[in-house]
Amino acid sequence: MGPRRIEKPSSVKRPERESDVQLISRVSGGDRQAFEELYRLYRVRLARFLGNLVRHPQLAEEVLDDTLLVVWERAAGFKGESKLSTWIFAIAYRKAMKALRRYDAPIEDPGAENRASQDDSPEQAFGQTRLHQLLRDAIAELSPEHRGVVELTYFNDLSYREIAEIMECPVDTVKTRMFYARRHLRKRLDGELPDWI
Amino acid sequence: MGELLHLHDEHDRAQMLLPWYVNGTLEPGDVALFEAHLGACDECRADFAANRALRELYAGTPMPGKPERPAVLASGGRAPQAARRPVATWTRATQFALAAAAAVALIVVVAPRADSGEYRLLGSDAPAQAGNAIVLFSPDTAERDLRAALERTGARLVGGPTASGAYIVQVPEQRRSQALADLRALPQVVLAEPIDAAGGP
Repeated sequence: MGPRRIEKPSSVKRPERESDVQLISRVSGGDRQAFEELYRLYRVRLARFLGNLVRHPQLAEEVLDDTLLVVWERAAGFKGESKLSTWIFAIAYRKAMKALRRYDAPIEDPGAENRASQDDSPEQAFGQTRLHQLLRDAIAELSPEHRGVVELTYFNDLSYREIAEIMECPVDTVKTRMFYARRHLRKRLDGELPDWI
Repeated sequence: MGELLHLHDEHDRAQMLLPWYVNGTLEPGDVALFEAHLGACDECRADFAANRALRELYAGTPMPGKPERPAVLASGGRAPQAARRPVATWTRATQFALAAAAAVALIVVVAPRADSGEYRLLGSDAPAQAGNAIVLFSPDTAERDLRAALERTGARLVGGPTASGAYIVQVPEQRRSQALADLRALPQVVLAEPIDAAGGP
């Protein structure tokens, strides 16, 4: 029996690898339209990843800017040895951790957890379930490294090897981080998930 | 690696693999190991079901950093130019310095709350008040020295610093080359380059 594929959420759209290689090749040649295309492909995932990691909207936006700048400037350095998504997320992760280290003071944005998206209608904003809020609260209590592993595993569906490459750490560290993160989430959501009893 | 766990048995190993079994990315060897244990472990079966539910909940839960607009639309191949915006009325521009070998820089500005949501670049057909140069000071530059450098060269701060510490400034167009040369001559200035569509790579 092979690995069980669970239907991906509609928000996760992975480009095909061939397309990725072609796209980044065009970007490395200075093709701005290709860069815009790549930006569109990754913006949603990157914005969520960075927002979740740094927990401060303005800082997350800055890190996103810097990440894309590096992608543009160093596109020629992508040799296809890893997936393009891994390469881009690794840049984003490094930039985020560097930005977090730069700020000595806590930069948690207390409003971020409850802030509705600009696109949400009032009905949607109020319709967010208590379970989502519980999960957001529990995630916020994790360290950036643990949040990063959860996000890459359960939103981006990356393998532990890809995550280790992104975080530049051993695969056992990734597994251990996810183990502790799950344990924390289980404790905080105990009895809330239908199958989690 | 203080947080690394010591694995004692198959149950612990299966627990470590479980999230990636759930997301379907385990390699065949890991799948075999996990499934061999799953058949014999009620706890892991229950945990698998719970984590499948957790993953679905997690993926459907908005998190901080969700873009305020859907992915921006391409600008139709238009050459990068500068977006003009009153700084005070925007959250923050997304700025890309598109540096060529000659260190020519362009700043790409994404307007997160723009109606079109499209990417805009400094120097477009917008109203006044755009930056026309990018300046990077050395990290240890005191604020008063930074201010003095800008005043001395007639530069006015338009945006920044970005996370990489660059500032977008506006200098009088007719003497931009001289102003930039003056800025470059200052010991605390690492980079001072024009930004406009023509200067792109």
